[in-house]
Amino acid sequence: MNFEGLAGDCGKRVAYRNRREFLQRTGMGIGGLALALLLDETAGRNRAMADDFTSLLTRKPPLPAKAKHVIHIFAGGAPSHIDTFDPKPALEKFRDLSLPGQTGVGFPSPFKFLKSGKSGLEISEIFPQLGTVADDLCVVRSLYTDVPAHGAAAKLLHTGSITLSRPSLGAWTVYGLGTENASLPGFVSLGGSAEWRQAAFLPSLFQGAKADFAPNRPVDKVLLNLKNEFSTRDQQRLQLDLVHKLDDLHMEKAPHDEQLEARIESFELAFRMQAEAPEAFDISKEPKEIRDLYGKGDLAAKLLCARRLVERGVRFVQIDAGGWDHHANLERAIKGTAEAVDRPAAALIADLKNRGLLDSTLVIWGGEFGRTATAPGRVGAESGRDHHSKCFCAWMAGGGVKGGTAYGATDELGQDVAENGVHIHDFHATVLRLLGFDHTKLTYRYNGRDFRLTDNYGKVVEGVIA
Amino acid sequence: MKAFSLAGLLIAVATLAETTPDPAKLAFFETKVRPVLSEHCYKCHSGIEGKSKGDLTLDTRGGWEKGGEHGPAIVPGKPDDSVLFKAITYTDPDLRMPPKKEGGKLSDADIGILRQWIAEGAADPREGAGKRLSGMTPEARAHWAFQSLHKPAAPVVKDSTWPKTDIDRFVLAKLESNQMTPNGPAEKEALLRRASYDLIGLPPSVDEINAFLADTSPKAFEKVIDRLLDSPQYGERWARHWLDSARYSDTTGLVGDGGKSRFADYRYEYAWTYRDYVIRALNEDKPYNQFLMEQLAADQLPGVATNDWRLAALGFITVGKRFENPDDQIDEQIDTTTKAMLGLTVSCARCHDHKFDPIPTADYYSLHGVFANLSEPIETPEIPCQFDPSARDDFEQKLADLEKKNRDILYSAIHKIIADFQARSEGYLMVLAMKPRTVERSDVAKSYHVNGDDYHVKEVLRSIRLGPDNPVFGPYARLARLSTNEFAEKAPETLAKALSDHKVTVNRLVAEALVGKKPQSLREVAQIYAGLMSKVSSQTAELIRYRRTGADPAGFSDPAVAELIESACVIPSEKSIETTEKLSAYLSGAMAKKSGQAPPPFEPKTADSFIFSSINQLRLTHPGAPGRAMLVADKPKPAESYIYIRGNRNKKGAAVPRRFLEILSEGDRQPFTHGSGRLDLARAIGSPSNPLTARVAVNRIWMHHFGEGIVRTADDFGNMADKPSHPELLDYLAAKFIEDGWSMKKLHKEIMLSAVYQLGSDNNPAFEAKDPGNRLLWRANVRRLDFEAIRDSLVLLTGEMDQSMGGKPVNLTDEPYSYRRSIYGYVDRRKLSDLMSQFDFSDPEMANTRRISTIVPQQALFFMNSPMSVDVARHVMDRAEVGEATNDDQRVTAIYRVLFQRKPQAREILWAREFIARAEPLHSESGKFKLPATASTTPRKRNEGKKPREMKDKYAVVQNQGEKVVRANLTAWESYTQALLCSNEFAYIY
Repeated sequence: MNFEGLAGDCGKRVAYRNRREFLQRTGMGIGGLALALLLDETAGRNRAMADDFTSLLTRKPPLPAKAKHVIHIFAGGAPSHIDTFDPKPALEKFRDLSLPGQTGVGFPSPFKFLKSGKSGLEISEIFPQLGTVADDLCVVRSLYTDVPAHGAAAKLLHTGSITLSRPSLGAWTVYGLGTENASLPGFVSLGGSAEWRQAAFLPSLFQGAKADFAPNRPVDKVLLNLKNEFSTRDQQRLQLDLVHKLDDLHMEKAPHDEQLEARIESFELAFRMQAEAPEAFDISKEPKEIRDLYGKGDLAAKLLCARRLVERGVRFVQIDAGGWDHHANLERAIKGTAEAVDRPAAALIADLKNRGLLDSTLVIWGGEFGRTATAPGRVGAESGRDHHSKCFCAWMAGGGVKGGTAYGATDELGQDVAENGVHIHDFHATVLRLLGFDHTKLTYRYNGRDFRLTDNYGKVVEGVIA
Repeated sequence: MKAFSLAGLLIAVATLAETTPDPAKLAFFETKVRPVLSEHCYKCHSGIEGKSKGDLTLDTRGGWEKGGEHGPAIVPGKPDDSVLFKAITYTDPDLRMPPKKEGGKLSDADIGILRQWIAEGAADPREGAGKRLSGMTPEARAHWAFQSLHKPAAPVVKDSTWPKTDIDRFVLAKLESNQMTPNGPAEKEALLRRASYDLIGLPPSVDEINAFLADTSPKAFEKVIDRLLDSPQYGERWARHWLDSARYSDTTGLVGDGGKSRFADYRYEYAWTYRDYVIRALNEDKPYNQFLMEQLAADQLPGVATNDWRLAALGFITVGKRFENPDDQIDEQIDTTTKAMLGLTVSCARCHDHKFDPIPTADYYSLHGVFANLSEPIETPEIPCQFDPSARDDFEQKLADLEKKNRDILYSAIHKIIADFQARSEGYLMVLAMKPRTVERSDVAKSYHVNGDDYHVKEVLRSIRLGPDNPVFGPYARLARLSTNEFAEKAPETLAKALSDHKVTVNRLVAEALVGKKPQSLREVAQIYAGLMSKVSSQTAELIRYRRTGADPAGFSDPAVAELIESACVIPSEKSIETTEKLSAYLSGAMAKKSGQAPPPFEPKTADSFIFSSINQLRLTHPGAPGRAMLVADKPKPAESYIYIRGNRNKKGAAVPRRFLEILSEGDRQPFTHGSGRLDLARAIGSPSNPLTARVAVNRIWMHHFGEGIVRTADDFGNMADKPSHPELLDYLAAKFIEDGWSMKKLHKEIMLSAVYQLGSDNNPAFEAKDPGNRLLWRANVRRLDFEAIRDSLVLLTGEMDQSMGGKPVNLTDEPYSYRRSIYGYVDRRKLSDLMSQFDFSDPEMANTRRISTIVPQQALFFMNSPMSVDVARHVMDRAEVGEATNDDQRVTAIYRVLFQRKPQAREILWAREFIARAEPLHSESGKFKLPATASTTPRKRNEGKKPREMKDKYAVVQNQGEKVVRANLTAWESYTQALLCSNEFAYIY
């Protein structure tokens, strides 16, 4: 256990006879104590071999950084870069013509790109609302990844590995930073595969909690076992009061051990979580004008919920905002997919900004790879684009990124990275840097090896950091 | 390959930073310089890979210091004077490196990196500190764990009264040298609880406690140990520990976007037979080395019959995560085998020599050769195992129905392809004649309404083979090569040639239709084909029936008709695909390799319509379904594996013989001689002279008794391992283990009879300050029960624990609940149940013996709110001994006996009365309590709306039969009992 950090007494372990004494001597409020007590006690017991990152206690990262929270909007299905944030007017010359070295024929985007904001960032007309926050967006146009298959590429994006079970980006984040509100999970997933939120070999403290959240679904069951369907709150309070008496008695005869104290606290924390979590997820508590700002629909609700969570200290929120696999009928279909996220995402950025939270919150939008510049036959309304992993785009906002910029570039036809390529590992390295970590040093020793999010790879993309 | 190579690098950075003065420079070397050298230079200048062109190696500091033909390659601080720098800048026309054929001049960025590195003094850790950066050093070889095992004598101790056994003398000697003394012994109740949880994973019963308390003989505890070791529940507890090491799971973890995983269920149908083997082997106290050997080579051991229960042991090899890439599969097997059995991280040597341990890449590929020469037979043997033979007929009937349904799906999909082609063959042939993904082709497709986005059209298009030698389409294919302008002119000649080509037997009906024709356009030819297809189309259904039944009522005496029909898609005989396994092999293309029977090119939509998952569901849930061993077999002609340079299978190095790891071999290593070498490998691992096997095993057993191992890195005994707290004790235990015939049960007893095992767990602030981790064992560790022990205890309290052993997996965490022990739980490695991971269940991704133990509010929520905890509380109140109580005090006493196996203290009875008094009014006002409207019986909706049905089916978990927990307010007494379940006393041993 990391008691020495609390006691300000480095390297020495202090034993406390009981909870009260502990509180007294550490001068800690209950919140901080609860955080410190939520921990991997085995690692604590073996402090000699474990590092310090084994509790949920809020930690300062080693490097100066602005971002303290992440909202990751995962645009699964692989959005076309050519129709969203990477204009390729030159494709027009190749309409219906074979492209060098490619099968299929040139398929210029059916959409106009508009210069938006003071920065003049070019954004497709399918995102009219995002255009209004263009000066906060940092578009990365030179992302690339390893395989054009959804499952594998999405796994790489979320965990840094295509095939193996590795901790997710959110898990690494909470492992590095702890959390700010122990009454809520530090990492919340609003939908998506279990693999994308897994802690893998990291202690389960850092695993993303699956939130069963959707507009109009009751919020009291949003987390596993959150709702008691058998007792009222009064009855439960009575139960916990009894439990504390029993535990205190137990500690008189049982040996003193911090684990026992920690477990007692965890019940109080759980009790509070029952009340606080539903409140945090309850977007009906928002004033009407805020709800209107985000608009209607599933994503509007989820992004608004994400803001509420971040505001309450949740470290990492993951949102599954898929539907981008436009193999056919792209022109019609992508409009709908874009519309679903356009207003909510723009609202999220504006809302965070109004509350002074944008600086400390990194918002990420992007998919697992991009799409081809070609269509399989004559270009028409039914045309679509196939999978393409050599280049794609994503945007970030807030959290210390350079707003109103486009970083990197693809070639004239959007088929390959032309400059400043950013591999997923580089992207991860950059996100960790924005959170205050050197990605090569945020490691976890497991089974004889030090693991990190970026494996052996990754370089920080300095160009996106303000 | 990027994602698979290993991260030795960052370990190097971290450790060097501690030992050398300038970490920044070394970090620069590791992150910038080393990649350049290894990428561009090692191919020709690497000692480890045996390449030293120009007598120069660049993979050690010594290499460039000594230099090659041109003298020292680098002058630290002076790039311009360094031969290496001159070479890479191409300044000397006679020495330009890397040469053109190896990629030519480096990029300016790379040159800049090397310049900076040399200019700043060429800091290079690849020697000196090399003990940690290369395992190929004498220091790495000298590591204690690789030295042969000798049994040390127990040390002399000052306090001769405390030790009960030699184990105690080792422990006490350490304590004494640190001026510490061990705690007093544990209370008898605590000791019994500890022993009981340790050996069988369950708390003692009240009777057992009373018997132990009453037994004042010196052998009292020994009797307890014997009783527990004899209990079949011992195997159910300890099998789980080994299953952690063996990364046991009931699922493949492989859910690809395509590939072979489409045509098999994602769940293993027989993983449970491996689990049951482990339980039985442990209960029989099978010698541990024999236990290991059976898991690698049971089928090759003497006396193992073809339907022997021990064949299930082979599941160890294949029950892991599955990969599409065979090399990843082999890597997984090497990784698990070496970690689980040897405590070695051999798979670190896949791409480079191990950075810390003396395991060269060549040794990795020696083991690669073993696993590469394994195959999984399509048919596996039925073995004796737990199932209900009286329900077998019912199972077989249901299975036959489902399998037939699955074949019906196949034949109807094939029929659809053929019929669609026959109906629109002109269009299909016209489209197929054109270059794919062109405007022209899409225009033609449109005009024929053959939409390439339609999955069904795609299947037809991919199914037709337009080769020039195809007996049906050959002539068409040859004509299709003619350009439009010259078509009319050249067609007759081309056609004549095609029909008279001796190498190809053109289908008789096709030849008859085409002979002498002078087509003006390709379209005309396509129309001729269309005519033919339409003529035979009425016989398609007949032909399918014929292929299925073998009966030939329609008289397919004219094979030309059948050939025309099957030109769209070959119809397999039903016999060749009669079992699920065969059908799966056929569909995944595995049969194509053997018999040339290629599967139809089904698109995902069709592929997902098969019901492999329902069949597996039946096998996994029907009581009459028998079990089979997850068998492996050696390939008939085993071949050596090649070293893949830097793990890249396209860059083959030397072939290496299949043989054991050099560092663990005595004398002259011999190549493996039996088939794949599994048996030889098994014997080498199980050999008493192997320095690791016994040490790793006894350390784990120790760990499960004390909460921590003597070496805390239970699966890594290499140079990066944790330092043993009591090295001599470890060796003593390991040597004794071998002496005692590798008996795990004897070892348990030896450990548990020691005074150190029986210590009390009281804290001692002075000692805690000195030894906070209790490494010296002055006290017993306080331990939270693991997931299985918590759940099993809860189930036990219900009084309805299903004590039957073995058999198919049950769902541990979802309603309706199972009352079986947790060892029988279904484990999904891709989607581990949230509850299990909240309670730190071992990640079944890879071998991992040491569990962590966290404390999070989600665990508390489980005790407070889950239907399971309520179910237990209610059951406790329903137990006879509780029901028989005639007053509140008796009732409290009865509840305490059930839950804690002790009498309540006076205070506790008082609190109970208070609780009931205050709780009852709350509960009697239950009109206020609103039950959730739909909660009682409606099953929870999953995957609402979004996902297609077949997905749901495909990833289905195992569900139990039974009732859900009734959603109704607890009574005051139920509420009281549930509160007791939340207490620390319930969840800890100490």
